Amino acid sequence: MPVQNISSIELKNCIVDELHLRERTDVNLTSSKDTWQIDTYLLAQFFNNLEAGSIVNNGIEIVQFAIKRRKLSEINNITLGYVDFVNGEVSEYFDYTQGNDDYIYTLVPIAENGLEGTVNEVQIKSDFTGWWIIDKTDSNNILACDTFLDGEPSVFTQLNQGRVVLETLNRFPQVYYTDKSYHTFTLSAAVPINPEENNSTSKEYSKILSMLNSRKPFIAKSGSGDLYIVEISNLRKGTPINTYFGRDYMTVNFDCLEILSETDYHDLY
Amino acid sequence: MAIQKPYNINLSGGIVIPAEEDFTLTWSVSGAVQTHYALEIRNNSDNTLVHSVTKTSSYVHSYLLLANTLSNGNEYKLSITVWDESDNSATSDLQIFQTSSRPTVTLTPVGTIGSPAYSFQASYFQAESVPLRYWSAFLYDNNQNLINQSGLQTSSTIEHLFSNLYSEHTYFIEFQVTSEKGLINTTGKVSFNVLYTTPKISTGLTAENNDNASIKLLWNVVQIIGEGENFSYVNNEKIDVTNGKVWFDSGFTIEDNFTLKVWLESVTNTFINLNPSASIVASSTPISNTSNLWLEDSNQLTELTLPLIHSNTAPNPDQLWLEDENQTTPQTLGVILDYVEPGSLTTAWVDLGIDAETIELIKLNGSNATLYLRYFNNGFHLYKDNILVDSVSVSGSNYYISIQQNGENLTLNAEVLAS
Repeated sequence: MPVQNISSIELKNCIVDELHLRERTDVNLTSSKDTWQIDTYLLAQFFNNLEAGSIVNNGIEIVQFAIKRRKLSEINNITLGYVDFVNGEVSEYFDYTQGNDDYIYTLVPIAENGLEGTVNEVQIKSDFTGWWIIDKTDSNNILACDTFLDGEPSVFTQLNQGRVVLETLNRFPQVYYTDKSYHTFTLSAAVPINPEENNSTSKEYSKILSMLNSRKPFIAKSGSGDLYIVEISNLRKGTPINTYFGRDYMTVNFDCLEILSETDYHDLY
Repeated sequence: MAIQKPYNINLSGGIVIPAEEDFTLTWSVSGAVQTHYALEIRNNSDNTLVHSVTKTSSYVHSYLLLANTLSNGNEYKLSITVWDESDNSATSDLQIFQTSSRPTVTLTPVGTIGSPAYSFQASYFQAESVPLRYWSAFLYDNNQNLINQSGLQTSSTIEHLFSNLYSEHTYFIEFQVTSEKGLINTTGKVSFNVLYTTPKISTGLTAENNDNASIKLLWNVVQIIGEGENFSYVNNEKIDVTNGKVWFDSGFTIEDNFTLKVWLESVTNTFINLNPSASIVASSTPISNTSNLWLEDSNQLTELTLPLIHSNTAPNPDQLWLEDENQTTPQTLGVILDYVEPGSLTTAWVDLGIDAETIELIKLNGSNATLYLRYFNNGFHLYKDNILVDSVSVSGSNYYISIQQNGENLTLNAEVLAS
């Protein structure tokens, strides 16, 4: 019977340069040294410490990870959130706040003394369709505006600029600009109702009303790359006249008013 | 219309220029085309003529005042006279200006920074003791893109802390100073490196598009910290457990199959020999061809010395040979030389009194057995509990060892490494 459940290893009576324990046996057995592999149990390199995991921190315990993100074309990161460190288990994080663009996500280990460690990065191109309303503070508050009933409607965003036009005695007016520059637009969502899930127009409408009436700023993002921080108002509901059980659906329309920059939003929330 | 007096003179209004640098004096004219000009610069305190240009033919409305024509720390007055082609002339109003040495700012040498934050310093000097008005510090990334700045600072000490510096990155730092006379100077962009020990990490970080227009990040991190006693580090990259030990007993469990690779140095050899003068005293226990004999002297601290009794010449001097005088055919028994007491009395064992701890290099504790790697008699020996599994004869000082368990099979490989 093989030796099973080895959970401790001891070294003595020599000088040890490196120790590497792996699960796989179909590996290169030459004397070349490997980095941490996906099947590595333990890798001790003794760089002035007794660390042997996939993370080395001079014996200082890692307590959490910071999740950061930046666009491929930018230098500065924004911090999305923090996740507690769980040793040896797969951890996950969901980012709902990104637009449709190329991003670099960064995982930053944070030690118990607050020291940030060497980062790990991964690049991805976000790829979704339709418009989405996202509440960064509550991942349950998501409203998809990616289905429609008739045709393929367009969302028209209006840029509201601060302009002062002065008519003078000259041929042309004088135009002066202020800093005012924000977008407004209207979105609609077709919300299917499934009676088999004990759902109804009124229940679904209540849920949406509760979300949009929270008076919080939301992220409104589109598959074409738009991303605005908006305040939502004037919720309107539409239901067909000739509905019957099993053919019950609803559309909601609401107005969006851009009120913050993306950077300021992430600083505040 | 005759030429008007020069205006728009750029050396006016109390402007301060560094006398140690060239300065291009410019002016504008109106009324007629300039054909000649002349100028005078006088010391404003005593009207002494310091520098002059006599009537010079030129259509150009400029003059290069060469460096060090004037001296720093003084106030001067300038007048420019211009002529047109009709020889009409006009002289400018007197223009007052000052001279002052451009200040110098010197960055305190940085070297390689060993932390995420560093307080950069610089020193200010001005030859005429004109004080510092304000200063700024700028931080650039490796491509000299501005990533942070201090803003205008008025403190007399030029020092600023920049943080969030990443290890194994190169940055540029620049200080800019302005004297009370309004003259500016800079250190230029000076590069520096950042290198400090940070958590090295292999997370397997992945990202994928997910439901509800989200991105899902996944990662897996293992932190294992060993313990030890009586050990020291060698050159910050090895551990010396010659007189101690180190162990790892948390953060991992090897269920069955595994590959172990280890690089060892300064492995000393122990010779375990049987004294050829050993003798065996046997009882009258009947001996068959497959019988083995076990002998022990539990008080023995060193090699066991026993006389070898045989009544007939042994067929081979390295074989333990016992004879039963009633046996017509001599029995020849193989001898197992070891220091581990056999689990049963079916193995001939001569206790050599060697302490197993001194020749043991690696021990792996499993739930059902323990693996030992030992080095003696110029070879590595792998034991599963008390059973010898595999041996490799190799002699040197520094070694690379691999041990694999693949189901029931345990294999040991060893090679000598150059020192």
